Amino acid sequence: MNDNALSRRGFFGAVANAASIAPENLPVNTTSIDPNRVRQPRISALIDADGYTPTANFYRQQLRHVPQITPVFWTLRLYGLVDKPLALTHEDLLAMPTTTLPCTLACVGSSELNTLVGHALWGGVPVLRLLEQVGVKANARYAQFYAADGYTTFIETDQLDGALLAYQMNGERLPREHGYPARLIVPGLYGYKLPKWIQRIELTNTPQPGFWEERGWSASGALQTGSAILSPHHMESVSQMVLLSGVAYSGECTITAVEISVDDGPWMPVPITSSDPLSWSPWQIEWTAPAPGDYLIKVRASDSSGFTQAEHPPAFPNGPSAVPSIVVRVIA
Amino acid sequence: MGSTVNRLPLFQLSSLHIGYQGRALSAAPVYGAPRTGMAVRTLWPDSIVPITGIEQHWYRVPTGYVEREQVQPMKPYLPQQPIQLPNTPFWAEVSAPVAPVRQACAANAPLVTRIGHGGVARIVDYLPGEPNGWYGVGDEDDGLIGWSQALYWQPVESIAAEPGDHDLRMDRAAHRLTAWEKGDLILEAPFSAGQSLNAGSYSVTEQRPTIARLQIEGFGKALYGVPWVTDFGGYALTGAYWHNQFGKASPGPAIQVTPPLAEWLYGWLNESSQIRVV
Repeated sequence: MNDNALSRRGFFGAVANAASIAPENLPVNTTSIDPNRVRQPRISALIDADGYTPTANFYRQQLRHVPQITPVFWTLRLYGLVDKPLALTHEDLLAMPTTTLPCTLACVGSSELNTLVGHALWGGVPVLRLLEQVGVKANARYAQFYAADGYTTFIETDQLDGALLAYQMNGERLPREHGYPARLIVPGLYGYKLPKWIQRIELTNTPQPGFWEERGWSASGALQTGSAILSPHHMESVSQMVLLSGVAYSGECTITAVEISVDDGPWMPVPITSSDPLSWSPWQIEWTAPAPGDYLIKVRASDSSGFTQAEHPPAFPNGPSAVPSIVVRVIA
Repeated sequence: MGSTVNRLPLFQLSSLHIGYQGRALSAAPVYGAPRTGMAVRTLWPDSIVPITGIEQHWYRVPTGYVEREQVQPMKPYLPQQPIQLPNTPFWAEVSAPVAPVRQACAANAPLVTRIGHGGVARIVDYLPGEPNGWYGVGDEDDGLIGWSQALYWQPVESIAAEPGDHDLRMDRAAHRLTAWEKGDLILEAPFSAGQSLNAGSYSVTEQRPTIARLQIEGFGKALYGVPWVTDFGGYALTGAYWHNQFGKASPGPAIQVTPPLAEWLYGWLNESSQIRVV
């Protein structure tokens, strides 16, 4: 871990302390964070030449502390409605063939002023391979996850087809703050359904609501189609010719269109490259303001299901899908 | 009768498109040549594009050709410099491509409406601030409709209406109007009709710099700041900033012309003018 990562962790730690709790999402009742004070990273810091978010700049959210886990004392237990319960050591996990999965993660607490989205290449073991080893009983409908920090959540076993028990991130060992020694990655789900520091997986036919499910957030955690303006920043002073850039992302669908609106005017299509459901769609477009002044910039994304982001849908309980907007001040 | 008009010389009316700017009314495709299939780029909605020529239904722009219906010709836009605290109320027209009007003095305040280039409003209040303050946009009774950034507007100078033997003739079939001065034809221009007109001879009954808010059945959202209104025979002749499809029927007020032409007619027509609809 480099110094930059440490300093960012310190930054987010300060934010987390201010909020008392800061898991994969921000609770609906969190009031102690002033989003205007959260500085967005530049898009170049969030997307490298290969389209991935550098690990040091990937957003981090956790419920409490970052557990300090010593790998030789760590085991992953799979039990419950299975034929052969399994206890997997760290060495056992690393000895299994590594599968890689490019996947975009988004926090259900992401907002237009505090974008918590990232895209990484995850490496690990397909969860299905582990389930095959233990032999899941026919009546097991849910996988209940227990993490070292006390966080819990559950996922329907049907949703685990493409899931990965990840121990690598962007080709390197999974950092502690991202879930070392192992975390769950499931394409199309919000971060709060992807626990870090996993210790136990229980197969069950009756799910126990986890930390955020108990507080009313969606049990499915399906990622809503969303978009973000990453550059310029809200209330940033810019010249008349501006490069607008950001990302759009979806869960199980592909992004089919990204559009920009200036001052609530007609929508302007933004060229995008074809995307797949696992990856976000970075976008950028030049805009020339007709004159100095304050301008309202909005972005919206559409996906292959026909869904288009709307202005004011509630973020609770299914996650944010509202059209994000910023104001830029064009100066002569 | 109207008494405030900023007269536009006739030579500007006839050559307004050439060497001037246009406002893209929507995300308008630009083609390498007229009627070719692939767009080479797309104009931003409400962006300013130089118009360098006309070829039938197309404007020539620096990067190609764009359909004339997609672009509103506009006067050169020179954003208003920092202004002295103005005395309100006064009349102003939209000099920018568009002037959003919002519920409060902030660019991200809820939108009330967007008044396009050439729209006119009664400015009833002023709030200093960066970059150069906000105008309070009012209605006919000087009530506040909303707030708009001052640099998008230019105050309208007032001059007296022009007396004389000035008559207007409207051809419903051709959607063209002709202006006659002492029997001489001085101007011919297309108009759009928002409703069916009855043939007849009418007198000007009233002139207003603007209709602050106009809700037309079947049009959808209300129109604000509809400029340079001349009423006759129960009909309204106005400027239209929301399209450039003059020469055929178009939703909106009864008779729609370009805002500069409506402004010119506003000052040119007088109480003795006859408007003949044929």
